[in-house]
Amino acid sequence: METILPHIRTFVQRAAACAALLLASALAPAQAGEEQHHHHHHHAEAAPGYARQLANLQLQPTPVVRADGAKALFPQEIDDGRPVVLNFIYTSCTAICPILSQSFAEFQRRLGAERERVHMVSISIDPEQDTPRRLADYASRFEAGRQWDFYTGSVAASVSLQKGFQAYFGDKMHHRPVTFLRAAPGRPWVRLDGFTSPDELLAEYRRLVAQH
Amino acid sequence: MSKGLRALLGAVVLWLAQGPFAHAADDASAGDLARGRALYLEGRRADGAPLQAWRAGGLRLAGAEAACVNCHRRSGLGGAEGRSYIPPITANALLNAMPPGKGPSAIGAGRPAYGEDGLALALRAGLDPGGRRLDYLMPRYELRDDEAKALLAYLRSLSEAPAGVAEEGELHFATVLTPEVAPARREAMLGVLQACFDEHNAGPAPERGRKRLAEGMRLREQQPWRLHVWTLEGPEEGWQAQLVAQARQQPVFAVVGGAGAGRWKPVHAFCEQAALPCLFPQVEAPVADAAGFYPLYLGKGVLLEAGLIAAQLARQPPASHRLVQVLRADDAAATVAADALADALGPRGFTQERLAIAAGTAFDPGLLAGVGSDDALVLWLRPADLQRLAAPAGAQAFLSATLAERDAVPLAPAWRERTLMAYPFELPAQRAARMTALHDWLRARGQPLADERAQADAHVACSALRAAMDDAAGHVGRDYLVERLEANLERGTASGLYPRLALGIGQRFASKAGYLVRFDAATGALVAAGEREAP
Repeated sequence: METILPHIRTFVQRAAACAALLLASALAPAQAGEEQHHHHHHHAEAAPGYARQLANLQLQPTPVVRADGAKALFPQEIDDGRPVVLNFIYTSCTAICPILSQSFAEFQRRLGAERERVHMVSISIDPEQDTPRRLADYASRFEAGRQWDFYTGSVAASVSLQKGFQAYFGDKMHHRPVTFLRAAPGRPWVRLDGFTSPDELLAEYRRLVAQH
Repeated sequence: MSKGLRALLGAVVLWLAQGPFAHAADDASAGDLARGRALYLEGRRADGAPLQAWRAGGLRLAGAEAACVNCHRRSGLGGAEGRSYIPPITANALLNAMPPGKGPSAIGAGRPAYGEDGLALALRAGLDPGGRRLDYLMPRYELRDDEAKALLAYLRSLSEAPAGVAEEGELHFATVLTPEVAPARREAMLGVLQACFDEHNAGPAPERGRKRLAEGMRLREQQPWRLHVWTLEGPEEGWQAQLVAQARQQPVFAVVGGAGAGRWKPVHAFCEQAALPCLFPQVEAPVADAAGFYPLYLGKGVLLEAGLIAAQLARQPPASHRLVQVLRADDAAATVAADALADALGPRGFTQERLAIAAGTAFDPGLLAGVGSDDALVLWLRPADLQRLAAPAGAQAFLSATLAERDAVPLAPAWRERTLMAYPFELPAQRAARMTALHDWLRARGQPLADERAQADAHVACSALRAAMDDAAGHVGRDYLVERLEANLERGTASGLYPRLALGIGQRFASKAGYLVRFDAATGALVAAGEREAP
């Protein structure tokens, strides 16, 4: 009895305090959004910057397969007169490609109806994994419109295109963020090395088509 | 009941629980672990809502795409992509200071240890405990304090040493053989694995850019490896239980190589449930499991072959639009193959027929009497049946290189001009140099060239394991081993029978492409009938 009594006393004291608290909280108004975190800022982070240069590139005739399964040929596939905005991706990429593709998606969204005038191109650097169906799934993740094409094909074709754009880094894990823009066939390519925010990509595009 | 009231009641229960009612506190941390796991792996908050995050450039992320696992991986040890370094975030890493090191990331200059509250600040405001900005790739999260606490509980669990693996002494591995594997193949495969293990144990491993990840993280010296052979017996239904019993009696770090025929599902299921990396067994019909993490395969075997044949039939359908498949009723691999081909062609409006040879009976070529001269014929047959083929049938016939068991197919010359073989390997001429190197390696280790395919696969499996363990730079972790293979297998030059081996995050088949080959009319030698294709 001696040893248990203090526990019982403590319990009773606490239970009483509980009951009081419960009563108090039942009477208190319900709290909305009681997240206790500090306010954080949703402003755009400063990008680490990207490097811009012009490049005159010669692409070799290269057979590719589009995400809809159709066979096509580069460079004819991107020489229909439209300005081209192009990058390299692979569907199992988790760090770099989602940012590149999300930027493309946001760029597409901001262009609105004007998007029909651009040809957006994403080429797979893991073509044996990235079957047309996988590319189509990836495209729908980013709500790609019909002006945004995805390409796969043989390993040789993918490597040939990467080398043609001087953006071949060996295996896919070594790839780097790089985006290409061209106002029209025969014009030089604008090469952007690094991550571009949608704002920056849009600005580069406007600059490109304004000059042409 | 409002969230506030619920939280208050929870706090009260905890408070009451002190003293004789202490177990409630353990329930709280078990809850934290589960909530932390959901955040880390799925980007899911306790109420089921998606985790919200923001990227640089104003891009939003939510739910699964915001989950930590995408970049920091299951092991929590991160990795690298391009020139972007993704640091380790296990509790071990975070709660210890990071010394200065090389690299373009923010922590190249080192950072102090995170305190328990520092994690929340890092995730919300993007600042490390030294006040330095986190990397451009790292999102900012909307996260409550209790969620940060739950996440930390989960990150502590990632720091635990792998179960059943001793810190000192030998590192134990197993290899699995199903009862369907012929003794000669079994011996050939085991000989290569053991010789490879002996090679690992004999040589001193040079220090290969070993990095200390953080002061509190323990790295291991190279441990000797021991190989245990787990041979399955009896019917398939009992295999998984046998493997569980084996693993209980002899815990292993991972499973490497091994062999099966058409039945491998129980082994695949065991590997996944036991969370054991199962690296590159030689199997005729691997298991395609989109959600699987631990079983890894070299080629896709008959699954690839079915895909190659389906693609060809889609390009050049038989005039009759009728497909006839022939197989032995009790050949599990052939059944998997025929099912896969039937599925692939389902939407294409082919009439399909299946001719089954009853178990235990000889193949009677008269079975093909009903095959029309405009039909496509797929023979999922092994050499003993192939050599009984008589008069050619059908317009176009297909064979399986996997089931044919070797390149020298006993195919009657009359069949050659109309037959294509689905071939998941590199063409013989193109892989000759690698095979010569394999033969030299075998000879140097006193191994006969008894079964080139089994021996090549076993050699690649063990080489890949050694390279990945080297890559892991002394950190012994099962998830980390799989992640190293995902990232770096592509860089290895030992691809054995295959043109190319590469994995990636979530990829579980290292070779995804193959050929259709035809037989030279005069010599029967294999000649590519088209480009290498990934169906």
